[in-house]
Amino acid sequence: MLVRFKLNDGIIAEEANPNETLLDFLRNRAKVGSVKKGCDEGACGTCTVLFNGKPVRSCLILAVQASEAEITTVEGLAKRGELSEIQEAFLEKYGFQCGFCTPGMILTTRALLDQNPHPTIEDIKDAFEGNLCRCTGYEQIIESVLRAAEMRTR
Amino acid sequence: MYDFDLYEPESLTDALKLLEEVPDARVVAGGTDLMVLIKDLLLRPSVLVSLGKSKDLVGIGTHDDGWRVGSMTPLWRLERSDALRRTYPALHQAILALAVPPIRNQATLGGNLCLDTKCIYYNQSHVWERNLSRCFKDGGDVCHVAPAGKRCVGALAAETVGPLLVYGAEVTLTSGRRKRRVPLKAFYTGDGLTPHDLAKGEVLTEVHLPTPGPRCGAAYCRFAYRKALEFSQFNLSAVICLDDRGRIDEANLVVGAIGPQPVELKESLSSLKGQYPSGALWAKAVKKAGREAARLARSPRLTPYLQEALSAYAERLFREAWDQAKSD
Repeated sequence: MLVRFKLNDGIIAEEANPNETLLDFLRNRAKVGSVKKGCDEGACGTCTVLFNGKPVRSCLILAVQASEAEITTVEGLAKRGELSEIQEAFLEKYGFQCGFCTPGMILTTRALLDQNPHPTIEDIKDAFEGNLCRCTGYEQIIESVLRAAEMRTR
Repeated sequence: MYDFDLYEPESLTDALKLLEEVPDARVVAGGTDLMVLIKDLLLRPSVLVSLGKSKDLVGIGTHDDGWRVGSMTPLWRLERSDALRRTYPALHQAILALAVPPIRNQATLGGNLCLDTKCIYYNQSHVWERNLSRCFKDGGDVCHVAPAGKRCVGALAAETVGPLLVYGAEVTLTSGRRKRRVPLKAFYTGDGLTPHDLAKGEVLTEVHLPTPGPRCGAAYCRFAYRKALEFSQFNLSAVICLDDRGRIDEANLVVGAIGPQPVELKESLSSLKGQYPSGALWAKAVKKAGREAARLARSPRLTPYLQEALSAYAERLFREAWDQAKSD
């Protein structure tokens, strides 16, 4: 089946099997390396992508179901070689250790700040319920999100 | 994943036709639970019919006599509705407690109502060593939760069922041949193997919520081992309606996730009608409620500890519902 959707700034059109998840499609066919396969059953959140602007689990969506949608991954955040404010904020506040959960964390931040530019710590905790960090660096992640909010509204 | 075919009909009519024509078709709504079951090889349908593109099943309609919600309405839309939070606060609380935000961005209300029952023995990854004999749900002849029992007692862990029940919701079930509207309570069979009263080719298409009466309050809470991404050990939904003199006119308490169907604790609450609410009254009622729930659960799942917790949670819930009813 031909799958065609907007991926970051471009269009992707590739054949996919009906039983292929969006996660596998992105990694194996679209060569998007930032989307990670953690648990592959919707528990960990490292495969998060933005589906029409909303964070979803790409391991629980079939590639075919993404047809005509707009998918954003971390690759879509940096423009012309410049990191986005959110990425800068994560660097500045050490919002990662091993980095495996980071793409999901950054995309969740993007969706949160688009919807709520001035989140409280409680808002952040609620929005990040679905993203696990195995290094347990949650404090720094929360600080990174707060810093990103500050940088974006400046 | 094993091979299957996927269809994405663009209307309910096309979907119903497909479901009639293809013998082994399975409906997929948001897919957040179904995909996990398929990956774990617990389900192996050869054809999936996704309703994701059937836009006629999405939407919230507010009418004088209540709300109509299309079954494919995603939970995030309900979660962000201020009108829903004001009119049906217990349902709103349940949606916030359900899974995690990214899953609520995909999952739908109808999908939650049609959630399969859960069991710690059955819902395991396919790589998990199955060194126990096959249970009822797995095509065998034993239940590992209730070994003395003669049927599957898998738990209906859907969070939205209880609140919808206390609000008196009904659901529309549609197939190519007929359309019927049933009270939500009648939609659950009590059999863990086939927990929903859905005939072959039938789809849950709409949820009807009557407008809550005056001086009525409803609340929801749940007990789970983690706050997020965990099915409940039990969830509770309560409704209290007062008459014009402030006495209890109607009280209901529904326990979810302790068995294949939601359990209404009628006996423990029967003495409440006509009485003036008070802390002492709630304390007495919830003590009975814990025991009644354990008896009706028909499985050892509701341990003495959970029974105690149920009573304590129920007391808080009644106070919350009562406060709401008083301020109405």
